Amino acid sequence: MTVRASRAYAAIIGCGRTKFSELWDDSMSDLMLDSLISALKTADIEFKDIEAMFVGNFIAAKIIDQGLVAGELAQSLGTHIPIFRLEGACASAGLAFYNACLGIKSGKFDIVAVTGVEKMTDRGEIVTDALAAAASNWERFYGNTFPGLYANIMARHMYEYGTTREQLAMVSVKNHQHAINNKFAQYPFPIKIDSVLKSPLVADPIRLLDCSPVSDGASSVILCNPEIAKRYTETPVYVTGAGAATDALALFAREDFTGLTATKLAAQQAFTEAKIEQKDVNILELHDCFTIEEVTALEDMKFVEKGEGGPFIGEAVDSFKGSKHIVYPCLSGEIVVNCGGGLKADGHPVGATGSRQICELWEQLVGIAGKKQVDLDTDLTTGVAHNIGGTGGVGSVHVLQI
Amino acid sequence: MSVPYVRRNLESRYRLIASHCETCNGNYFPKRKICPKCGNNDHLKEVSLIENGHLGYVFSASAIRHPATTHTRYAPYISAVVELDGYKVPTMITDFEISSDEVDIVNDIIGMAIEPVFRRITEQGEEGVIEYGMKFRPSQSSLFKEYGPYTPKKISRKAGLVSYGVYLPRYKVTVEQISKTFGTNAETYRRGLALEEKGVGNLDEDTGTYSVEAARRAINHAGIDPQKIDRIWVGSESPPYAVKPTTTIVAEAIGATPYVGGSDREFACKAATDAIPDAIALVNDELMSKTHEYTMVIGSDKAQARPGDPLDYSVGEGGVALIFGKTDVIAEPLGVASYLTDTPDFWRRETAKFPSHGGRFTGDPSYFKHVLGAAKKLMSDLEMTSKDFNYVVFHQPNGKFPIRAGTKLGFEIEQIKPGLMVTKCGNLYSGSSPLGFAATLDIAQDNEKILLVSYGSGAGSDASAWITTEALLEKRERTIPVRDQIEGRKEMDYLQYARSKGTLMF
Repeated sequence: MTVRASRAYAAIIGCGRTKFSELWDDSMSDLMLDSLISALKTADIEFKDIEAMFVGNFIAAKIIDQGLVAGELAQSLGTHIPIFRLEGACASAGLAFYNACLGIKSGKFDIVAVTGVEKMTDRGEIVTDALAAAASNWERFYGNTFPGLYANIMARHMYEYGTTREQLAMVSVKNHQHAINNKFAQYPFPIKIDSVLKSPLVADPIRLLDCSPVSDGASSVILCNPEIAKRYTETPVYVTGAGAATDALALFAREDFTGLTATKLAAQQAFTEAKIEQKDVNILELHDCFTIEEVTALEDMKFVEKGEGGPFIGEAVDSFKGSKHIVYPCLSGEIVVNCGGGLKADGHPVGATGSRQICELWEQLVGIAGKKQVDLDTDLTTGVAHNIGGTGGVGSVHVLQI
Repeated sequence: MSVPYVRRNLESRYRLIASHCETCNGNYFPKRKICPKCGNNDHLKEVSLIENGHLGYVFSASAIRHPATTHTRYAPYISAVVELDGYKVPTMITDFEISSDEVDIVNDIIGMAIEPVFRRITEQGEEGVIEYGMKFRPSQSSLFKEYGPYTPKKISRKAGLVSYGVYLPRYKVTVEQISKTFGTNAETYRRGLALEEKGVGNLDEDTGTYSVEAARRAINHAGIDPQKIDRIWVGSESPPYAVKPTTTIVAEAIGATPYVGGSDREFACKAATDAIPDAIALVNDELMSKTHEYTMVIGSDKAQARPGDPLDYSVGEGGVALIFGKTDVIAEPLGVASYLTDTPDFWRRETAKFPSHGGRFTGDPSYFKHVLGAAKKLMSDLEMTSKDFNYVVFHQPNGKFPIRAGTKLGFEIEQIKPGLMVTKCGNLYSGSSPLGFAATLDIAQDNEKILLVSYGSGAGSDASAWITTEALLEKRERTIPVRDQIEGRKEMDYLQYARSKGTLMF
């Protein structure tokens, strides 16, 4: 066993996902099973090999009136294994993945599955209300919404650092560009900066094309004890760092609006555990629920200096001449962020996003991402996944290495 | 939000009660049990962020165009975080127009100076409770002043008026707007009824919010501890609830609870003045005065009218609060007389949305008979004539009636004009004659006499006579003059007005 494997939490041996979109024909159960079945196939194992499951889901109880998602899944699978449902708003699957890693590392389980799922489109008329459950009741009382809260963050970042609307729009342009070869993406097509700047206002200064969409979808990851990973695959991807942190639920209860403490702390933990620095990271899946969040996350994770995220992204996207991925030329090295389109263009079924990010990194690191395979001068060895719940009330960061 | 939830947080919602940590100087809103910085739970001091004229600025904001279903009635609106003396407070920015163009949050909103206002936040559907809270609006620094407690100077033997507070909204509608909408001739109203324009509140204002703002201003004027207010009456014919008192909202919002009494009063436009004799008597009475140091009477309305009805041209909005007590009295009562008969000239049945009225029948047999009846009785009781008064204030359904009534009683136009506000403010219903009284007190000197005559359809009139004191002049700087409040109002078109009144259905 390699050194990397010996200190890893777990090894990823397979991943699967559904398309993210308005999936009118699929129930929540259908989505979970579809993603799980394809993950089992990639790992070349059967469901009976799975000893426990960790499920990420945010609002099934509100949108489709389904609580106890674990029971729903057990029924569909005809199983009696332990299933844990983790809730951390949009970071639900990030937390599920974190706990699955602990489940393996503890020695309790040898093989587990993580499934993130959300069924959002059945009740489009209450989605805004339901998502606001991840805000504080004080914010809801005064009519704030999820886009509204991120608009508070965006406005403050623009105010304090001079970040421009154009720079922020570039985040959407870049992520749509990254989705064009992603067959699972909700919006696999390029958009122009003007489309973002002229899209309808949602919560000024946030416009429609600053927002990740409302989506249905699921994604699954198969994790195993690193010591036995080679039994299943020649190319296990190791989870070498896992960080999770929390913060005040309400934005107004924090000193600074221009960054998320949960991101900073979770990233520190994960990077330290994995013994990596920013320069070691080749690919990064960021939680771009709104364009501003890609800017603040790059800053919070120290890939760029505080306040410089806007111009940095603006220049990188503006000077892009290629046909595939836009490479961010960080001082620490080149990285590609949101390889398959991120939340913006790949889609954001909230409870499924955290595990979808893992799927993306796994495919890229193993080198089976097909037409959307990232092509850098160096070999892809290290990927980082950053998943945020609410406006940063909870966050997780994971380091994946091959 | 559930009813128990809303009530549980009332003091922070209504009065912005926050916590200050005396160990580490941390400031937190809403109030906390443990200091999140230093973990201390013994040295957290409660502070109210709306007392003593706290001003602040917008820290961050967003114009919400796609609200949750609970707030659709008010969209678009601005949700914000404001900073008040180092406390960050979640809130909404109101009295700020949002067009279809992008609001420049960074340049126009962040850093904007703001002042607190008590407003409606939302309601739990058509039949559910109404939720109130503190919003902020662009500050009009010329009107907003810092007030502290007023050191008592003189205790009188008899009760009188201690202070008054007037709240008028920041929007207006002209008679021309209404005439244009209904194809009438504006001159009919300008010349015939001496009506030019009237104040209109924002969508989030109602009789409850007017009452609270007026009461707060009256407390600021008096400079007294609201805990000393022992009885409150709110007179109105447009209460937010058909059943549930407005008085409780006021008492809670000004911080007078729980040792306070009171109720809502209803008697068309004299619902407030009807309570003045009671308010004075309780403070004067040997037994009752033990538990009644100060009493408060509020006249407040978001006056109702059927769209296009002659009333639509005249009904105004706002609130007036009067505080009675024995300390630093600004006007002493000389006497009171009432006149009442069963005369249905104006009414609204329980299920009717708008009031009905008797047209010209509201004139001679109604308004004039009662107003003149009460005024003559009082003047005769007091053995006074029109020459003995410096000013006279009547209920003001339009600009013509008060002048005609005054002339019949022998008053000169100069005695009437200082209190004649209907031409610019509209008829405030329960607040109408109290508004004229306040406008007169704004300019009166000491030792001057004022005759105040209200009218309530149905019908009755209360006449009261007053003599001003030196304290009126001493405390004047603590008031927000009525006439200053009608400067710079923004004009609404009829659709905006109808949306605010709730007559635009959607």
